[in-house]
Amino acid sequence: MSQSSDEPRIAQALRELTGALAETIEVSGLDAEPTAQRALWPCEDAGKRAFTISYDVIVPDPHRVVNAVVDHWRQRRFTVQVDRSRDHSQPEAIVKSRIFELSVHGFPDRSSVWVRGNTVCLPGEVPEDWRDVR
Amino acid sequence: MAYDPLVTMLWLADAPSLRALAARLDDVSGGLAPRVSAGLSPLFSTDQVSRYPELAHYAGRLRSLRQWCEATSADLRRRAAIAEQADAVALDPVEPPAVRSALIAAASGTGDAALSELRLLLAADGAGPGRDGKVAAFFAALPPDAALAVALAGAALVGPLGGVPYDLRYAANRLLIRQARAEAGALWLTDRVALYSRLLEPREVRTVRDGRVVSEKLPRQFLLFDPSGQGRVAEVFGDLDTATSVAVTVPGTGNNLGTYGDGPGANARALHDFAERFSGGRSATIAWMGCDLPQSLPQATWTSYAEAGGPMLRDFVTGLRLSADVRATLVGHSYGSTVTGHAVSAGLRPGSLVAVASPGWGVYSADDLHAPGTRMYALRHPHDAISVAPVLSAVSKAGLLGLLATPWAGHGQDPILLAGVTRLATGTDGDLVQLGLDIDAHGDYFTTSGPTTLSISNIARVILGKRPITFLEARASR
Repeated sequence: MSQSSDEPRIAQALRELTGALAETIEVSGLDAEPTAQRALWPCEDAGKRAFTISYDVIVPDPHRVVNAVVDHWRQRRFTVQVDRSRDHSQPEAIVKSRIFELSVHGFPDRSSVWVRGNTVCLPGEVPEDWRDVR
Repeated sequence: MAYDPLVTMLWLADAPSLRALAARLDDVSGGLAPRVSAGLSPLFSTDQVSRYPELAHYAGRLRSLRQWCEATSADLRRRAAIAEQADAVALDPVEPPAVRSALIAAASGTGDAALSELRLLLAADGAGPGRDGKVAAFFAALPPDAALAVALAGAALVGPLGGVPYDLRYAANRLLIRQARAEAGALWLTDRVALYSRLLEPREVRTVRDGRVVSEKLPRQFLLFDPSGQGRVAEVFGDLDTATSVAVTVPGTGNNLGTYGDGPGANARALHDFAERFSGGRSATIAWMGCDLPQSLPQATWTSYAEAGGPMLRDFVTGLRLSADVRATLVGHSYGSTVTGHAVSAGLRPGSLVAVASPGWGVYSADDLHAPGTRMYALRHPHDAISVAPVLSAVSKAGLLGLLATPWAGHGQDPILLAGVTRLATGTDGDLVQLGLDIDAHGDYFTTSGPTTLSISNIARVILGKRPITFLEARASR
């Protein structure tokens, strides 16, 4: 696969993804910032990498959090792929940009929300603080 | 006198002592060689046994002694390889302490008698559910520490064996990986050492305890490991003992042990992330690469890999002895879907069958799978290059490829077009043209050059029996 000079790099995708997730956590109205879980995301192209970040959060009202998150993502003009935020048993939404995807999944029966995102497979130098991620 | 190495009970269980003893026996065997092998002529032979006819009756005994030396030496080396790993796991923070004790016990021969019984049991029965049940009963009758010692003493036998409790198979296969790494290290095969080391890296798992999200590192869980040839591996994500939904994923063309970590393993882990969250920790996902897969596109047109792999997948899943109320799903990507189709044709009856970017299940009608109780799903990006494979298969079947048409090539109809199969949304459902040549799109269900979250979450819904988003729903909502 050819690589053009204007092709986005993994460092840019990680910057944008972490920024978008930080905003998402902020609009969720959580008392304390949850711990992020970082991992490699599937990417089989030689010389490229993809990563995922996710947050498992205990919340009193998952419906409210999912709705707040989806409203925020719509304001940010991400492309909405799935909006099931009104679903009673598992409210959720999936949005995407050119270089990352985000999703939020609420579990009212467990009073928890899973907020996550992943970059697409991209070339470029992996930032130092991501190099030990497995 | 018959010499049985199994009765040679040794109290030494450290690797250097065992290897030193093996080397000493090799020396003795070497010294006996000229005395027991037939000389060219008694006249020119230097050894006294053949020179003097009255000593001839010693020849048989010496031959037996030499055979005993060789068998015992081999057994000591096997034990040394186990003992070596007892030292190594002591430094591993995630390996359960019982494993080290069991390794020491296995190295000193504690499990050998029971292992011989197991071999007899296996020799008496062919593979299948009946034998799996007997194997399960055999291990259930052993105390836990003895069962673990048997599993580690016979890791190559027990690691892939159906009916064996999962924890024992996990421990046996981790031992096999450690031993493979040690052998690769001795030969300076650094790439292999890195590959095996990666397989042993612990998994970070998050669970909710007492209303708090906690993270812990756990040892990897393999139900199969064989580094020979292309290599075979099956890894479990989640708790197979308590899971109410189990998915088995099968990858496609070009995969082997070298591609496992970034390919099939990473894909299964991504899928498991969704299934685990959606189920509240009640699901398990198995990345299965237990058969040879085609390594090139021409090979991928052949049915032979799927014909061989299908029954192997069937036996693997049957050997798990999942309880009847566990929802089992086969998920095949690309050629892997053809393998899953052949597994169903060979008699496996999963609750659900999911074809991802499939060249075909090996049939032209879903009815030909003869699995009326299996719910069938398929997903494919419209522009995925695999879309041409069933077309070529149909053209070949119609006799329009002339000499290029062979009975052993082609995999049947595209599952998304089969009656009785539900097509799932992939995120590219608005496209009008349903045929394309996009190679990148063929991987864009797990690996991402484009969006994948919808595909993965949809497959996870099927695995858990939840309602997925169908292609028609996604199309109608645009």
